[in-house]
Amino acid sequence: MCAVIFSLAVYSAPHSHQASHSAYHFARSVLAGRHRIYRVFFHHDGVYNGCPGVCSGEEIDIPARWAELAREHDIDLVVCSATALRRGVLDHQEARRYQRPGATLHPQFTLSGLGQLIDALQHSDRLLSFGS
Amino acid sequence: MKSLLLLSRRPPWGSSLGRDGLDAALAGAALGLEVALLFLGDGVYQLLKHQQPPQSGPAGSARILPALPMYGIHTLYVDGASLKERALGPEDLALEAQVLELSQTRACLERYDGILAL
Repeated sequence: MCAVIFSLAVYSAPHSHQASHSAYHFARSVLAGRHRIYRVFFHHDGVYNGCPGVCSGEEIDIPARWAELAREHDIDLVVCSATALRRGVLDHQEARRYQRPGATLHPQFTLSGLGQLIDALQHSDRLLSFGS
Repeated sequence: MKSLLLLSRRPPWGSSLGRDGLDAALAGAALGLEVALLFLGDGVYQLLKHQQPPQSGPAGSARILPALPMYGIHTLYVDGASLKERALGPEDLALEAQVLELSQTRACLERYDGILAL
């Protein structure tokens, strides 16, 4: 069986919508089926997937799960920089540049432009959207 | 991949999803892809004449649409059934878009190498 290369685009926040959870479980299934994930791109409210929140014991900490998945399987987690900045989702460099108190983005995620979404479309057999 | 079709299904107000989708299309065009837009569902409202950008709330798409040709995006399609359901016709649209019937919409989806849906 030939491995299929997937990329995922996530458009919704993890604590208010099902979409990120579905995307995360889909990614796990893809990898369990010995297929590949080229990139997960977070756009619009999906950028909140990169913010490590504080979860109660019953909730699934989706940002931490994404980070774990990325470390285990060397997956690129990219957060759209333009939509992230508007929502206060910043890495250390952007927090300094815009004089904000500190970084809000988990270090396993990278801020980058929409070109990375187009690149994912070009380098994957399938791009799946979650939560638009 | 040489061509990209953006499915724009969101209205220009109430949320920035419509606008964010158009931004993705612009990124595709900037990277040299042949980009076309297909407006369907509430996305057809983005094409309406006489729109006022919201005075407060998320930025709409009204300012981006007229700039599409500058980015090399010249092909706009609109789903005819979505127009009809909303009692709209081609004369209500601010930009020239090719009105597609159902079978043409299907053919259009097959013609492009990549599809982004928002």
